[in-house]
Amino acid sequence: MTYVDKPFIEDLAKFEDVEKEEKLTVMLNTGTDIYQGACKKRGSTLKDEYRKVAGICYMDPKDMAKLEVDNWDSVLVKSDWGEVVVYSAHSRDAPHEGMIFIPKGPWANVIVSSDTYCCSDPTYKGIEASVEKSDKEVLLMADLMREVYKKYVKKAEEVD
Amino acid sequence: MAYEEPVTDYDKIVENVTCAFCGSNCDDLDCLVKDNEVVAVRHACRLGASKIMEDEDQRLKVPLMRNEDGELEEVAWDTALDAAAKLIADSVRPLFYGWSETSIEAMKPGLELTELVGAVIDNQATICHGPTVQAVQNVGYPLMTLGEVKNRADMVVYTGSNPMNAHPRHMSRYTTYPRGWYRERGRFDRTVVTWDPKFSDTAKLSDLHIPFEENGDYEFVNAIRAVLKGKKLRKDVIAGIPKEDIYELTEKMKNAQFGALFFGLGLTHTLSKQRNIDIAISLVQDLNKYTKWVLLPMRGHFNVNGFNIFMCYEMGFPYGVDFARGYPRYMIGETTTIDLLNRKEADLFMVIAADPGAHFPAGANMHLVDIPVIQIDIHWGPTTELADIVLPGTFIGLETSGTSYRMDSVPIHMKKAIDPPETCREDEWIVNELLQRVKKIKEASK
Repeated sequence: MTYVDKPFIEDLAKFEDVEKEEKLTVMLNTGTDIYQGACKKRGSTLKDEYRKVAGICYMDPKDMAKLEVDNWDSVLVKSDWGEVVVYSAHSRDAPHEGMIFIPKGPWANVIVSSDTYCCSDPTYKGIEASVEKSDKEVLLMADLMREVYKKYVKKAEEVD
Repeated sequence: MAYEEPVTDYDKIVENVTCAFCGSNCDDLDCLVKDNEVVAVRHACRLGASKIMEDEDQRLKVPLMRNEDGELEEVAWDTALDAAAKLIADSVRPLFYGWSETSIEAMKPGLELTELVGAVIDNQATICHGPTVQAVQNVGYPLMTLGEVKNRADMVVYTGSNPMNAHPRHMSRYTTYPRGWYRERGRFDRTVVTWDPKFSDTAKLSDLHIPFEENGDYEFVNAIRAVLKGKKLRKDVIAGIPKEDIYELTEKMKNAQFGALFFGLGLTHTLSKQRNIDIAISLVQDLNKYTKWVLLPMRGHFNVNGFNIFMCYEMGFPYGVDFARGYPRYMIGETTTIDLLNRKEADLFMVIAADPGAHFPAGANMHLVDIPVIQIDIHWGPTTELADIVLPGTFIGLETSGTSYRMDSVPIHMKKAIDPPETCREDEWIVNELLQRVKKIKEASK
């Protein structure tokens, strides 16, 4: 099997005794992941598959319980550089409370720091961010690029 | 996972094709070809296989240009190349970025074009292993080839990298599982250690996982160096790791017969950047007082190392080389892509075999909205959404042959398995055509 339409994600365990929170302060890491790599290099970036592998925020199940979100619910991730809506999902690498991972891609780009500190390399990892529940849809790649960059989007035109 | 029937309907098998995905450059893939199409591939990992079994729907097959409404529209090759050449010839501070997913042969005319117009040439190292290259210039490069690791290594350390996700055959082909000359039992003769804040897929396969805290790389590696030099650790817990564990790990590393340290972007993307690598290289130097240790960066693209080697050989600098003054200049933080975009300095961006739309921070990409973007690529990707002229290239290593350098700097010939689509052109041809057309414009204006 060379290709899957969405990553394999474990079912969430129930946590009875966690305090519910509206908004979590977390550390954001980005990087590659096998699902993102396979989908991106296959070339399927315009499709729903790419949104499912790269527009996704892998979280610790306890953090998800605090926010009361389930797998594939939308969450809003905010940092000093921007905000983006992505899916939430149980991380394969859990436990890592207070840390979230978003695979590299147009979604992660919106919230990572472009500061290089004169070292050529932007800071893709270890960024302070906040996560909260959202009721917005995760945008497809082309829609996201139009909303964020607005190149060739006429002023009157609205992005869905 | 559903069972899939093996593919039996094919005309021929093309053996020993080189994978054009990650820096492991596996050169043992077999492609099953039917009617000039790859129907299946053997020996590849999930990443390599998915690249070879590409998505035909999004394949760029004809040159495209923006029309008046801002939509990409099919044009003739001549029209697109002339328009691109004019943009390049008219620009003041052009930036040519990419090159890591194309062959050395395509870089040659690319460098000539860069020199001709006084542009900046840069590759993906600028956003991944750039700090590594700086650290290598600072402290040195205790390098080996992956064959040495396979035959000799009895201790393998991965830090800040997750080969099971990014280089899936690295462990099985080169470092951990294969049987080597002095490691006849393969995996049983080796100790695999992962230093990573996360319990990554690689950590799950390792004998030992050291979960130091986020951004704790520098402190942790420094503690090992201190212990190696016979110092006592004063703190009980260093970077989240109890000091007893550090003593034990250091002892293990000292007693290995041949150790190999592999590091990835976890070290270069955090705040200490090149200092993390400085300290890792220094650690390997210190360990060599006791036993044999080597290190290697886990390079991402199949030819990202090739560009650095090619540029060092031709111009003396690895990446981010600026020809604006007529001679090559290299100044990290000044002539590198992200900094040029952050400062809104470039006035033309040509991207070849790369995808800044998917991999640059939005803060840097914002400048691409204001300047013309020329894209040479094989798939419609996030960058295409920002591109003004799109020139469809061919798939190196499958449709076009070429040379690439593996992560350990071994050059590998990538053979051709099938013919490219008729309307596409090789990267080398496209860049050379641009060079000739820019030359003509420059001569006419004299």
